[in-house]
Amino acid sequence: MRRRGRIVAVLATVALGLVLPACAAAHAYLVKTVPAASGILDTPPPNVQLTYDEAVEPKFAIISVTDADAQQETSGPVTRSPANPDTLVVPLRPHLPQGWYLIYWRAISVDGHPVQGAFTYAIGPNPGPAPQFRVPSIAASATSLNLLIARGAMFLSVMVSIGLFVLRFLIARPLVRRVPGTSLRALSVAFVIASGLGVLAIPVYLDFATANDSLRSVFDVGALVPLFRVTAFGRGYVDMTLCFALFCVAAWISLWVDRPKREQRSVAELFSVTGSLLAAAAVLAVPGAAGHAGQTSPRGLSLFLDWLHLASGSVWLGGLVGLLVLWASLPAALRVAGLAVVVPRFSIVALPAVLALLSTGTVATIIHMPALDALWDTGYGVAILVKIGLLSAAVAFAANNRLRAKPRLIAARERPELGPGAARLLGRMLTAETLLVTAAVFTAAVLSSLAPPPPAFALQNSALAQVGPGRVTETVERAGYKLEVLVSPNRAAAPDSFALRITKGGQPVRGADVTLTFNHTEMEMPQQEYQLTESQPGVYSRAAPALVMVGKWALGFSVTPKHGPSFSALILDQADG
Amino acid sequence: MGGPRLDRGVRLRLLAAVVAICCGVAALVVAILLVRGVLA
Repeated sequence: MRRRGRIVAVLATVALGLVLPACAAAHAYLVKTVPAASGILDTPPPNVQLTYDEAVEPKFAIISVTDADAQQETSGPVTRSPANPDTLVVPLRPHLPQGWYLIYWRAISVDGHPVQGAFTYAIGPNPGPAPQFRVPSIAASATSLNLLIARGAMFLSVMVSIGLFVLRFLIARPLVRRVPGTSLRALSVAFVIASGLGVLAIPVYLDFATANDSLRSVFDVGALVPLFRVTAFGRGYVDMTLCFALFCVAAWISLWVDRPKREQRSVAELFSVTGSLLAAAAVLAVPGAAGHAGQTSPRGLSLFLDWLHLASGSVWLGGLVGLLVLWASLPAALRVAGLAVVVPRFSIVALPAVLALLSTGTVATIIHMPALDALWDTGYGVAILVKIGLLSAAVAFAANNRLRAKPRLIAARERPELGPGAARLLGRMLTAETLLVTAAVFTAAVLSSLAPPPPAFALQNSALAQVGPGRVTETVERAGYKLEVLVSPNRAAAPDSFALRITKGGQPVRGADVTLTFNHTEMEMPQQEYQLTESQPGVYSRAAPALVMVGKWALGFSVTPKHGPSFSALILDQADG
Repeated sequence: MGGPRLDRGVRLRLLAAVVAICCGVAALVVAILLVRGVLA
């Protein structure tokens, strides 16, 4: 019991260590702007300064300043402020005339995801009415089909390589001793091809991603290579290239020193396999550290789950590919006997791998999803559902293999007439299972290219009404009060006015304390909060530069009446450009 | 002097195995530094 207690204490300490690391914001967001959003300046500013919560890279940032006629007013490239590394600066043309200007920005977060935003300012003293600017939609993602294919191919080659290595060295090795006349040569060749593709696929993906982020051609390699290590995302994938190359060296050495006909492994074999497995573990730690997991709190737990998810997926997928290679390469007369050795051994490893894959995926989904309906209301959630569907179908085939094909293969040792049928069944099941898991890997590539919904998404469920686009006049009831919400003109990047008329029993409620908070429910942004002032009896209003992006905004009114308890009301508002 | 000398092939295989384990440890160090940077 004392020993068990010590084990529990150690596990608890490890778990605590994983959970404790500091909270993290998922993506870069704007914390300060010069000029101020929706401000009216007396003199033209010499430049635009945007301060973020992290040091975003100027080489990958766009800051566009346009007038009402969409004329570009910047006069130089974006640079980092010498005074503050978190601030980007872009110079403006001198002597800009009076009027309204739109600032649109796009930057690349530490995890490689693009973030963007927009706001307006005016040069006075008489800028005139605010025009309607064209604001790029936030739905316009910086992900392209080429990039998704490159990402999927990269994950596929890396995972298949690692899984093939595990199958070749830890699962299928006894085959040549137990079934004379068989060979692991086809597995070794498949591993060399997959690992060779992996060595190419990682830098190609990095090239595509860097080209996408810096708006250059993928063939402009001379300009892209110096940018590889500029962002944390790029540094992560450069490290992954290095780790994978080291894995390949160690694994190819393992292939060279391995003598599978000997039951006992030599010291050289043990050393080389251990080195390869260490390198494989290192490779699988990188995507999480350079992606969502590294930016999702609790980071330690997210990184561990991501690593375990990839490791178990690699063992499963690479093992399936390896079994197919064996199925195709074994001589027909030895196929059943050979598969009867390898398939039961793979089953022992595959079951915990599949369970680990499903459980880590479930926990990661719970961590990333702010609300259940985000699963079907957001692109990220839909990608998760598709992945779950594909993996569920693959699990069904895996179960069929385990419950039908494997017992028949084992029975074929004593009843050879069962052999050919069992091998055919296994071949069909393995092909279907492999295709489904491969599709799931490509879905995961799409998933990890999308930004998860922000925590503010969950606010949608407590909204009393959904309004917009366009001018809003909506009446809701809350805590015995009648609340009339007025938003005009309710357009992104336009100076909107917000008003709340509060009545009770037909009488205006005067002297209340009313604050209005704004949360974008589709992208990570800091919450904005404004105090409304009583402009007429029972009418609380304010003109505020709050709806800086198109999309769904949660408008939260917190009301503290002069007499009576406080209450709040939330309205979901769609603002268009 | 000394025990029996190892065959040249065996020595080569041992040397390769040492290279392999060095590769593994080097990759692990790279990954640990990366993860430590993320957690910091």
